[in-house]
Amino acid sequence: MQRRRAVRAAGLGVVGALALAGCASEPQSAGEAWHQARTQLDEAETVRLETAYTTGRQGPQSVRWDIAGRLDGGDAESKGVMQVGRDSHITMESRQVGEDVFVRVDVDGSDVPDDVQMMYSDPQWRRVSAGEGQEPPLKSLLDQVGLPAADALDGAQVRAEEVDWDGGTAYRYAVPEEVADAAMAEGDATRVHSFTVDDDGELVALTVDDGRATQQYALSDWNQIEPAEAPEEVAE
Amino acid sequence: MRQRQTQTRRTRRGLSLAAVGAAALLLTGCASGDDAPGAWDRARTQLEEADSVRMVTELRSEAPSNGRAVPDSVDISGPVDGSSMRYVSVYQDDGLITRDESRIVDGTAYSRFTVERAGASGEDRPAYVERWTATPYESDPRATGMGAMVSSLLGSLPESGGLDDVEADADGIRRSGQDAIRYVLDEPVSGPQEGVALTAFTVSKEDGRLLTVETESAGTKAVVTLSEMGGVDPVQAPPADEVLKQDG
Repeated sequence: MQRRRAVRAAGLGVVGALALAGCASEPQSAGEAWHQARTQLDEAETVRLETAYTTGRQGPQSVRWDIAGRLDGGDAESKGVMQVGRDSHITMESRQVGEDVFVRVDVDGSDVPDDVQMMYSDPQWRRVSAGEGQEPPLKSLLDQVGLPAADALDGAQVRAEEVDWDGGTAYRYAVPEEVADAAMAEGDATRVHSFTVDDDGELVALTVDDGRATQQYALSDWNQIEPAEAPEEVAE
Repeated sequence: MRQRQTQTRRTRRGLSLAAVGAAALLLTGCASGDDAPGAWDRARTQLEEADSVRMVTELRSEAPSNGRAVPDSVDISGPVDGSSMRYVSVYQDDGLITRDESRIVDGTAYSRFTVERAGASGEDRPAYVERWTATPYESDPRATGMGAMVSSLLGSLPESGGLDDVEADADGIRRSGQDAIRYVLDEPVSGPQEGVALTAFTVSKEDGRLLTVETESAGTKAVVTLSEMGGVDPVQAPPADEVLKQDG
């Protein structure tokens, strides 16, 4: 957090100088931007990761995940929502609190299929044994990414692309294929396709490629995630 | 500044009133509901004769979905001979916009899904992008191509002469970037196939081309927007590096 504040403070100084001079701020070079982003990933304790994809070719059924918790794999909350009708959804929630994992599945909407409604007619929190993994956990998702070293993009000829991001402006950098390939280690399933940083250089998205699709992980709330709490009522 | 001209006229029967209406049309450049049958016949004929077209169907459905998502819009375009076609259906769900895309080019069908997260990516940069899957296209293009789509649409709508005894209101509006006339039928009119009924249609004021048809059927309202009549760009195969490599 201190580092981010320092970056922001430094950034404000630069912005102020540029404002006086009547100039717009220039995005960082790819090397500088990735160095800051990679450091942020390595040093952060918690983060929120949001992603979306679609399943199957009939429907299609879109799925969104919102996972917030510790990057080291500790306490985390996740919520996955899958569309199962015109305005109906299955919501899968989980909370990992220490060694305990709690899960709940709920359905809502006016056209939930009968078999789905029957299957999830009792939306109570239940305790599951550890390792029964009910959600794509934050750590394992990010551990699958072949992350280039902090200096891997130094000198890379990559132009920042200005993009709209949550009502503001951000900068997207494509990661050269050779850099992404070189970063893949044993066990890595996805390579970095691009990364996006905001005006402060804070990492707001990683887009990864598993060979079949590119998928964006939107990142936010760095170091601001409260520890997950066990549900008040748990079905025995 | 866009000028909206709305002068609704009730259909009036009778020679003298028709003459008054015609005079008013000449003076103001507006249409009357009396023109609906002729406008429909001309527009229908133009669509029948077009060698390529784009059709965007926007759906509002209350019908049972059986657990499947229902597209908010379907965009198809191509030559009516079925040699190629582009298809995009769009599903919107609480901040997610999912696109199901297909292209048929040179005997190959390419398909993929993309997902856009509202506010966090943008249409040209979806948050989830599949590589295109390529498969041989073995269907009969006459049965499944653009020509079949146009025939299906026309087959569900009143035939030429089908609005001759129908009363309608006519509104001067802007539609698809041009001055247009929207005819709203007093009563929905079914075509030869029962179940789908025409409720309104819009034609270009300049050349009478059909711009939209509005229909209703059991639990579903649809607006079909027609464009690029005779002018659809050739459908292109996706770039090779965006196509999933086949195993082996």
